[in-house]
Amino acid sequence: MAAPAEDGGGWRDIGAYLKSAGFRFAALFAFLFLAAILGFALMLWWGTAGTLSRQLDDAIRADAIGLQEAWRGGGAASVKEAIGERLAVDIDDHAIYLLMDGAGNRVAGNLDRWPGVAEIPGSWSAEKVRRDGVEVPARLHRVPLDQDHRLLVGRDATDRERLRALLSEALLWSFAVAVAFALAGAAALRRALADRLRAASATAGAIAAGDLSRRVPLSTQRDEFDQLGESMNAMLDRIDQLMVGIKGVSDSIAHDLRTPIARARMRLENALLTAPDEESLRTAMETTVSDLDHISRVFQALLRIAEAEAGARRAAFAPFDLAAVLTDAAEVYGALAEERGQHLETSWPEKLTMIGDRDMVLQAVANLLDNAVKFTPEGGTIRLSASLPARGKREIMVRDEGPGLAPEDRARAGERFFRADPSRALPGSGLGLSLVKAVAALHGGELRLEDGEPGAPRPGLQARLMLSSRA
Amino acid sequence: MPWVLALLVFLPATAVAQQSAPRLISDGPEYCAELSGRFAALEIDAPAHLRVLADEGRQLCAEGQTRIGIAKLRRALKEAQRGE
Repeated sequence: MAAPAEDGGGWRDIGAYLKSAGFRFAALFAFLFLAAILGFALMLWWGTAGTLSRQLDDAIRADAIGLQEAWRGGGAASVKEAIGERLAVDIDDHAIYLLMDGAGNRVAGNLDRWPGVAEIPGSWSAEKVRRDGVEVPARLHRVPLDQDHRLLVGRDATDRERLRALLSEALLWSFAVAVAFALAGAAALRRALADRLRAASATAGAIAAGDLSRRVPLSTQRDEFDQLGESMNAMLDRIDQLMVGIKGVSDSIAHDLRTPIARARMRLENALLTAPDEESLRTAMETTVSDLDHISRVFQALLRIAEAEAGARRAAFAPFDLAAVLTDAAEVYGALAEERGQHLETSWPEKLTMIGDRDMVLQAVANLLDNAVKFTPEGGTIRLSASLPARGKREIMVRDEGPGLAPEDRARAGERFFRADPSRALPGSGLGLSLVKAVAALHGGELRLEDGEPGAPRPGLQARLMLSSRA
Repeated sequence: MPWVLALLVFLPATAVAQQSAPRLISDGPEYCAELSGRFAALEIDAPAHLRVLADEGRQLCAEGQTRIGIAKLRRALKEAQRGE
């Protein structure tokens, strides 16, 4: 017992217990339960003992008003007669009266002397009076008359006090039982909460310890805890998927960069050892710089994709004319297509303003056109168009006359470093469509890849870049 | 200082006397007599059963059972007044 007290562990445990959600929910439940019981008790008291008190005071007040009228009608003699008559027919023997003159003599009534506290005219008081030698509670009202006379009207309050005592006792016992139920209910609630959360907690602990395969077991109740478990499992599946993706990307980076780096190293080494003259050495170095530029471009593309996916560039969104962007891209790639004997057809409205990242959109369009030029045979046609399919939406379409993409390749076309089999022989890094996809997501849109001419032997690829003007 | 001791003994007794509650006096033989006198004024016109009730009350008062006697006399008076 001494050890926890010395290092404060015991107090820490108690503190943690008091701060726990289970305890707080249980305390809230107990508080609400007891508050409801207290409210019920107050209403019961007000409806019984309170009503009886009000009735008693009403009877005294009515009696006092009657005697005041008698006073105004005939003075002390009239009041004396009225008191005598009222006492004579008081079968319940509850009435109390006392009329005294200025000399302190009792004129009428059934009280032997004036009680000490009822001195202020109009005052009400709860007193004790003696009946048959026993003190009983009484409710007294000092009725204002004149300077020389004092009148006291009251009732024996024994019945009211008896009811109050009975009610108080019953309510006290009820409250004690309610407290016991509240505490038991709170303990059960806390235990139930702890039981339901234990599975999720154990799963989180196992995952923190490194076992990423664990999932929260779900019950058949389909309640909020199961919904939480489902959300956690969905989150874990997503994390797992991302981890696999990151691993794939790491592997791809290692694989795709190892070859050019190894080639560059070998080239430099050979040149160093075997170059016959300065010119050969210079040529080898220029080729190596070109290889390194390619590596640099791959890294740059990866960084841009990451930047687009993170949404960091959303802060730089500004209005721009998409038609101007498409014109710029068409100018560059139109010339390139012409060099390769291809034809670029363009079509878009005169004005296509939107809000977004101009540079990123230009890069995405350039990547789509680059692919189209790469895969369209000589003499083929590339189509670049844009439209406004709906309010706030922009659609850019690039269609080529290349071999197209198999459906299973289309699903993977946005993955980093993915290259379909027909394109492996062509230059490229497999990051172009990844960036287009990331730019679409950055602008609240998507990239759709379809056959340009479904059913044709060379269907071509139609890439539709859907953008939202206000992402 | 005997007077101080006397004061100390006397003071609490006075305090008790002052604090004792006022007494209800509508339960003694005098009140029986007062009620009996009131009923006598109505007795001539009262029905027989009320006269019997009042007589029972007087009898009980005379035997020292004043509370029950007073209750009977009050009931007789109330009924007699209602009859008027």
